[in-house]
Amino acid sequence: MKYKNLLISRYFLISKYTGIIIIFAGAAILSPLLFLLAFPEESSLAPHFLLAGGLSILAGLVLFTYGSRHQEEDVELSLNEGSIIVIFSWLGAIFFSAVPFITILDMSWSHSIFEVVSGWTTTGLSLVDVTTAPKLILIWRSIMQFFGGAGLAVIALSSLLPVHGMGLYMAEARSDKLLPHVKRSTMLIMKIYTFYTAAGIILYYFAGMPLFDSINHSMAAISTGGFSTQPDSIGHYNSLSIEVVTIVLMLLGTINFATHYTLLKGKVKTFFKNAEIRLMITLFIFLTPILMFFSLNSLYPMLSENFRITFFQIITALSTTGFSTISFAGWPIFANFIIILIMLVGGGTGSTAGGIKQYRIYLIFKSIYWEIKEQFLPRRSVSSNYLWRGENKFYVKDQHVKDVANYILLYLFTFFAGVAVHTAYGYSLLDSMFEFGSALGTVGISIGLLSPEAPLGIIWTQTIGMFLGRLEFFIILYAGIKLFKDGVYISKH
Amino acid sequence: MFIVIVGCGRTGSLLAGKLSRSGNEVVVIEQNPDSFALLPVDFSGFEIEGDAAESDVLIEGKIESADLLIVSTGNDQINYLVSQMARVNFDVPRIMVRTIDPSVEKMYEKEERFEIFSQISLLAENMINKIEREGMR
Repeated sequence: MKYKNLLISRYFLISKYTGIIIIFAGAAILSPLLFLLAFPEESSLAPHFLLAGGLSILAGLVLFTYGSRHQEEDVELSLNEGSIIVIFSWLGAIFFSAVPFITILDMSWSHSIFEVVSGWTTTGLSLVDVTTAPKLILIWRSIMQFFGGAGLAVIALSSLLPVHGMGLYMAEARSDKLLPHVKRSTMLIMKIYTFYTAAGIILYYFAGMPLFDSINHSMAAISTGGFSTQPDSIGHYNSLSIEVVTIVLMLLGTINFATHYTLLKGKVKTFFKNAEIRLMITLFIFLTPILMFFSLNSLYPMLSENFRITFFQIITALSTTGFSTISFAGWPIFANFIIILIMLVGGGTGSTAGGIKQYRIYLIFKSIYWEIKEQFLPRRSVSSNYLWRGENKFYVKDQHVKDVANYILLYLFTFFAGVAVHTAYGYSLLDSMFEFGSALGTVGISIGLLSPEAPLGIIWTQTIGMFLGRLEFFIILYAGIKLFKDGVYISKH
Repeated sequence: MFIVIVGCGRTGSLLAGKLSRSGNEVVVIEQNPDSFALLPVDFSGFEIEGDAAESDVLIEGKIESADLLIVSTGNDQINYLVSQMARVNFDVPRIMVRTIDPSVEKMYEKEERFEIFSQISLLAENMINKIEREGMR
C-alpha cells in the first residue's frame, strides 16, 4: 500500500513537470506571431496559432495544477521518470504543433504529424509545398527545428522555471556535462546555440540571401534540421558563398556542445584530439575523393564543380542536416550507397544531430583495434584504453563498450525493419534504404520516394523512425516498460 | 559557488548531493569508483576517479579556481596532505577539513584558512551540552 502511494505521488510529479514543458511548447507555438510585425498581411492566420498555442498552454496548466496539488516536497527524478516526462512532453508538443498545419494548410492528420515530427526531430523531410505556404507556416517550421535541436527538456532546464534534475537531462540523449551543474550546463548550451544561430543569420545575409530566408536557413542549419524555404533547398541560390556558410553552420551544428566549449576556451590541441573530430576528419579525407573519382566524375566532369557538390552532400549527410544542392535520384548506385553509410554514422553525441553518432562508431573501431593489439601483448601485461571526450581523457571500460555495441545493433535492427516495410510497399532496396536511413538518422535528404501521394504506411513508418532516432530508442523502451509495470502494480493493488 | 569535495564516502556524498541540489557547482574526487554510487540520482556535478594526493588529479578537478574545498576522506594523513597541497600549491581561499582523531586538530591550529570539523569532538560537545542543559538526573 505504501509503495502504491509512493508510486502515485511520483506520477503527480511527472505530471507537473510534463505540464511545465507543454506550457513552454505552447509559448513556442505562439512565437511565429512575432513575425506578423514584418508581414502584417498574414494577420488573418493569427487565430489559428492562437488556438493551437492556447490549447497547449491550457493542457499544460491543467497537468501542472493537477500535479502540484498532490505534491509534498521536491524529490529527485530518476532516469526512468525523466524518460516518461520527455516522451509525454514531446508527444504533447508534437500534437499541438500540428494544429496550424491542419487548420491553415488543410493537410490531413497523418501528413501534419509527419511534418511536425520531422520538424521537432530536426529531420527536414517535408510534405508542405513551400512555394504556396504562408510565411508564418515557414517560420514555424524553422522555429520547431530550432527548439527541437536543443531539446525541450534542455530548454526547460536552462530557463528560470522550477525544473531541475539530472534524469531529465540524460533522458533527452544529452549526457555530456559542460559545467558541474545541470542548470548552468544547459544555460551554456543555449548561449552557444543562440549565438551560432544569430551569427548564421548575419553570415547568410551578407552572403546574399534575403533576410527572411536567412533567418529560416540559419535556424535549420545549426539545428541540423534542413527545412528550407525553397523547393530545391540551398541549390536554389546556386551561390558558392551561401554554400560555404551552410557548410560551416552544419559542421558547427554537428559538433558536441562539450567539444565546442573546449574550442571556445581556446584549447585547440584538445579539440583535435577529440574522438569525434578525428573520425569526422578521417571520413572527409577518405570519402570525398572516393566519391569524386570512383563515381561522380562522369556526372560532373569539371573538377572544381565535382568537389563542391560532393563535399556539400557528404557534410549534409554526416551532419544529418538534409540541405542539398542537387537531386540524389540521378546519382550512381555506389555514390548513393556511400551516402547511406554516412547517414547511418551521423553526427556527434550531445549535438543537435542524429544517426548512430560518430563517438559510438569511433569507439567500436577502437575497441576492435585494442582487441587485436592485446592479442600480441605479453600475457601479463596490463593496459588501460582511453580516448578523448570533451576536454578530458576517458578511460573505456568493457561495460561501456557493451552498451555502445548494443545501441548500434538496436539501431541497425530498427533500420532493417524499416527498410523491410518500405520494400513491402514495392520500392527498390536502394530507395528504401536511402529513405528510411534518412528518416531514422533524422537527416532529411530524399531520393524522391516521399511525396504527398506516398502511401500512409510509409508516412507513418518514417514518422516513427524519426521519433525513435531522435530520442535514441532506450529512453522510449525505459519509459514504456516503467509505465507498463507501474500500471500493472497500481491496478492490482 | 564552485566547490571541490575530496572523498565520496558517507560524509562526502551527503554533502555533495545537498550542495549540488542547492545550485552549487560541485566536483567530487574519489579513489574508489564504487563509492560514486552513494551519490543521489540528481547529483549533476563531475565525478573524478583518482588519488587526491596526486597533484594532477587535483588539477583535473580545477582546484585552482575552487571557492571552497571540503576534505572528507576517512584518513587523517591524507586529509592533512590534501589540505596543505590545496593551501600552498593551489591557493584555495577556504578549506574545510574533517578529522577523525581529535588530537589531530592541533596540527591545523596555527594555520590560517582552515576550518576543522572533528566528528568526535562535535559529538562529545553535543552530549556534554545536553547533559549540562538538562542537569544530572
